[in-house]
Parts: sequence; structure tokens; C-alpha cells
Amino acid sequence: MTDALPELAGTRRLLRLRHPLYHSRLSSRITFLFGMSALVLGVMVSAITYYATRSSIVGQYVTAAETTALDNGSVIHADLADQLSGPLIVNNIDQATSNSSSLLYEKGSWTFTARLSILNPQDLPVSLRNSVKLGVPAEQIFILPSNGEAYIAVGQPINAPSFVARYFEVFPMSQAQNELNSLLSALVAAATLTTIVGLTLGRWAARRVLRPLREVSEVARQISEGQIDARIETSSQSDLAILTRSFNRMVDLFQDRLEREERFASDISHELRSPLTTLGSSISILESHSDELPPRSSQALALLSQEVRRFQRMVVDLLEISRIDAGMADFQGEEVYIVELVVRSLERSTSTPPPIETDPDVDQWRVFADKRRFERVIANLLENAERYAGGATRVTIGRGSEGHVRVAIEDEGPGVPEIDRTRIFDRFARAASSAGRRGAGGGTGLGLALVSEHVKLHGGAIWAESNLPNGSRFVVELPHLIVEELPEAER
Amino acid sequence: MSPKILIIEDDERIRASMALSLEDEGHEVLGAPSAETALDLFGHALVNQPFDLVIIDLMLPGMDGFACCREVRHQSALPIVMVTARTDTHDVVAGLEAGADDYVTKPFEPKELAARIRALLRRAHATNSVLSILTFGELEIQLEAGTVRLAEQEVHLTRTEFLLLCELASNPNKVLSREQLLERIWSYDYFGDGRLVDVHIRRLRTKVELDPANPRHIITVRGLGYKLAP
Repeated sequence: MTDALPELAGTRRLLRLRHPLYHSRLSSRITFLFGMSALVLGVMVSAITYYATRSSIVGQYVTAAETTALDNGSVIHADLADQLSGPLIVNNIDQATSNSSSLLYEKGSWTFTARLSILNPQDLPVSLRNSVKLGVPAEQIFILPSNGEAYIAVGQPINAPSFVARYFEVFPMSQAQNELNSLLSALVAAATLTTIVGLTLGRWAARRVLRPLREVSEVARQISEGQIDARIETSSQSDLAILTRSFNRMVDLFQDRLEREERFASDISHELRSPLTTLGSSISILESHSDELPPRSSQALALLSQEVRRFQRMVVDLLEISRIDAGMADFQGEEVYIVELVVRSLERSTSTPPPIETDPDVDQWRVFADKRRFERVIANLLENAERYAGGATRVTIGRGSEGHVRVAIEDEGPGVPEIDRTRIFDRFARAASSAGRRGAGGGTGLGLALVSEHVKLHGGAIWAESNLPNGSRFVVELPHLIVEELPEAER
Repeated sequence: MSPKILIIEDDERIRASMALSLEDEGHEVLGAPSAETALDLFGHALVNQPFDLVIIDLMLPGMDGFACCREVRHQSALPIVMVTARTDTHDVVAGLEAGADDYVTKPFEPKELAARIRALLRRAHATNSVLSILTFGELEIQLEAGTVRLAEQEVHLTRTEFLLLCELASNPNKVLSREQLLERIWSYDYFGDGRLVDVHIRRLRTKVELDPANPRHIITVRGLGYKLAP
């Protein structure tokens, strides 16, 4: 019992906490999936676009470079035929072109302009030079190591019977590079945007998909908190309507059943209480006239009265327990001083109350208690001690676990064996170790079960432990209210 | 002259056993199986020899106990004890609001019922020794005459309501706990039902406050009880 109660409360809290968490996890999973899909899609589309555009742009540049270079090649061919000097030829070409560099090899020496950073024929790719040397025209895109920029070089042999020359023209690719770069940024931006749209869509979809789940769990929570008439609003969307309809139907059935049980309990309650009232009243009348009865009749009356009282208590306890089970317990909570409550309960329950020891710390502590129920707790525990342990020997009131006040009722009886310590709080429990002894007590068999239920209603815990060197101790822990300083005038 | 008690209870056996035990206590008892019969008897009795106390079972065939309680209360200020099979807030509070002064729950001990009746009757016959008129703004309490006037108009209070008002009025500005009020007005100990006080305070407010929703005189002190502010 000691551990079972807090553990139970803990599990319940955990479950309640887990619901929203679980949802947010599911919804973020959906959002994440949508975002990832959008990202992959965006990157793929961007990559394809980029490579397609790049080959097209580069192709255009290459074609343009080739055309220009071949045109210039034929001009050079004519100039060489006219026996113009190398520098003059290159100068003419430079005049005619805008942004390319020309490099001419004739009569064993190079002539070239310095318009681009290409200053040196050594910068031309070796494979290109070799190819042209072998008489095959070629072009090649290359990166100039000195500045890291891309260029396209077109080379052609210019041969005639009277002369042998090679002409190379180098065009910068930086503009193409710039175009590609801006395309790339545009594509990255597009992919990012797609991902964001995907995430947003995912969030929306997750919310939409999870909304019925959220509604169901919200309504389920309300129902578990006692708002039995809570229902999910019926949605017009057919796929969700199935869920809401079946959920609502389930709750309808549940409510119907609860109400029938409540009616039944109320009927039983009334039907049982009426004859018990008559029995009790009649026996009281007989008892007050018992001195007029013959001794044997009077003895029989005493037995009858004892059993009727026990029966009355059993019925009242059973009704009480069934009301608690049905969640219909009517908790009459009040803010009361714990010490006064315990003292008053003891005074009312017995004419010979055991000594009370109070920790001065808890003098001003108050609890939110149903006085009637708490009085039953104390009365039943005292009765239990009376019946099985020769009476309570001491009652202590002090600090319990964090936020709790602890009321302990001690006896010096035979003690409760370890295996029976949780069992004794069961209904109609008979201790395993001493089956015969407990049965003879004349109790209702519901006393401690009811005590346990009452304590639970207070949000507290109860357990039995050893009272060394002998006897047992029944400990009740109730949550106490924050101690406030009251203005003197209102005391 | 022995006190005259009317028992309204449909179960003949309970009625008979209650009558027997109350007669043993020295009361004169009349039983009625339904609210209708009871109200007939009550009407006659008002003219001839009035009852001193009425016991009403809440579960009655035909006119139910709540309606019967209201009807009796409408005609008279005499003490009413209701008998209920359940301790639910709903039944108890509804019964008190219908005008009952106290209640017992089945199965009750005859001694318990007798004690409740004794407390109510003793109070009903108690005479106030203080000869004075207490005034709180527009509210005037004539202790000896047992009358209360609100803004010059006479207010009709039941005995319980009057005693409750007097208790608060004789200790102005002092907070009285539910327990203290239960003990002084109803002769309960610490374990009396606080709802008795709450419902009677509510009923009292509807009669002696100009605006019962915002009481000026009968103030609730949360967690402690009630007080009367002048």
C-alpha cells in the first residue's frame, strides 16, 4: 500500500503528460517528412535545371568562340599570304575583336596581345597545343591557375605551302560563369522556398490529420474528469465523421450505463435503507423497554440488536463504497486544522482516546478534508486496533513526506505480518496468516477498505507498518494546505 | 402540553416506528402518508391546534417532499426536519433550500432524530433575555419581539434564520466558523454538516440583503466562516 498509492498517482500523471507530447512528436514527424520531401524535390529539380542550362550556355559560348576564331583564322591566313608581320597581324585582329586574346605562332616565334591576363603561350593547355601542332584544330575550356577563372581557347593550324603558323584565340568565360552563378542562387532560393512551403504544408496537414485525434483525447480527458456529457462535434468530413460518430456512440453507451447504474444504486439504497430504518427504530423502542421483558427475551433482543446494527453498518458501508466506485462520492471538503480534526475525531469515536503527540510544526497546518469521512477513517482505525490489537496506544501527528501531514495510530498488539499489509485494505479481507482470528471479530469486513477509499478521496495515502518492538502502526498521510498567516483580527 | 409533531412519510412501517419512538419521547404524533393529506391536516391544525414541528420524507408519491416542504414553509415558520435516503449534496441542499431546518439520513437512529427534534424545539421555545434593538444600516433586528425590518419593511424569517441572524448580529465583525454556528444554532458538534449553515446563510441573504448577490452585511470569510458587518 505504501508504494502502490504514490506509484498509481504517478502513472496517471505520466499518462496525462504524455498525450500532448506524443501528439507534438507525431505532428513534427509529419511536418519533417513534408519538409524533407520538398527539399529533395527542390534540390533534384534545381540540379537538373542547373546542368541542362549550363550545358546549353557553355555550348553557345563554345560555338560563338569557334565562329569568331575561325573567321579570324581566315583573316590571318590572308594576312600571312600577304606576308604581313606577326605583330601587325595580331594588332589588326585586336582592333577587330573586343574581348579575346590572340596568340600567333609563326616562323618559330610567338606574337600575342596582353589584352586578357593571358600573357604567355605557356598558359595554354598542353593538349590543345599538341593537337594544333599535329595539324588538328581544337578548342578547350580551362582554368587559368594564376587567377582561377575559366577561359575557352580555340586553336587552329594555318598552313600554306609558303608558311606554317598556329593561331590560338582565348575568350573569357567569366560572363557565362556569372550567369550560371546567378542561376544557381536562383535555384537554391527556389529549393529553399519549396522546402519552406513543404514544411508549412506539412504543419497544416499534420494539424488537420491530428485534429480529430486531439479532439478525441481532449474529450476523453474531459470525460475522465467527470464531464460525462462531453462530446466531439460531428465533423462534416466523412472520414473523420466515422471516428467522431463511433467515439460519441461509445460515450453515449457508457453514459447510459453509468446512469442506469446510478439509478439502480439509488433504488437499492432507498429500498435497503427503509426497512433498516424501521428495524432500527423498532429495536430501539424494544431496548428502551427491555427491563419489562423476561431475561431470555431480553438476551435475544440484545443479540438481535447487535446484529441489526452490524447489518446496518455493512449496508451503509457497502453503499458508500459503491458510490465511491461509481465515481459518485460526494466529497464535502472544508479547510480545517488537522490537529483539531484529529482530536475531535478521536473524542467522538471513543470515550477513552489514546494519548496524542503533536509535532508543534504542524499546529497551524490545515487540510482540505471531508470531516465526516475523516472521522470514519479515525473511528475505523481505532476500532480495528481495538478488535485486533487490544486498542490504540498512541496517536501522533507530524510532518509526512513533502507537502503532507502524517497521522499515525499505533498499537502494541501482535502486529500485521508483512504479507498481509496491503491485503488488509481489501474488501472483506481475511488475513492469510490468521484466517480464523479475524473472522471472529464481528466487524463488517469493509472497515479498512472504506478507510483506504476515504483517504484516497482526500488525495492521501495509508499504509500499515511495524511499530517496533511490537505492534503495528497505521499511517495516514494527507496533503496539507499552504500555511498562510492570518490577520490577527480574523483569528 | 406535549409538543405536536406531524410525520409525512409514505412508508407505513417507518411512519409507525417513528411514531412509536417519538411518542416514547413524550411527543404527540400525527402521521400522513402523502404530502396532500399532510397539507390538509396542516391547514386544519393551523386553525385549531398548530403543530410544533414537521418531519418530511423527501421521497413521496405524488407531490414530492421538496414541494411539500416549500408549501409548509410558505404557510408557517415552524421547524421542519427532512428525512433523506441519500447524503448527496443535491438532495440535502435542495431540501434545505426548500425550507427545511435540519435533516436526518436513513437509516437513522431514533435517538439521533429525537436529539435533532429536541434541539429544534428547545430553540423554538427559547426566549431572548436581551431586551434590545440592533440596527445595521437599513437592517433592524428586534431581539425580544423576534422581528426583523429591512428598509422599514418587516421581513419574515424562520426561527432558524432569525437565530442565525441574531448570533451573527450579537458578535458584529467577529468571524464565526461554521462549527460555532452549527453548535449554537443546531446543537451539533464539530462534525455537523456545514451545508446547513451555508444554505441558511444563502436563504437569509435573500431576505435581509438589498442585493443578495453582493451582500453588505452577511459576509463570507473564505476558509473561516461568516461575519456580520454593520
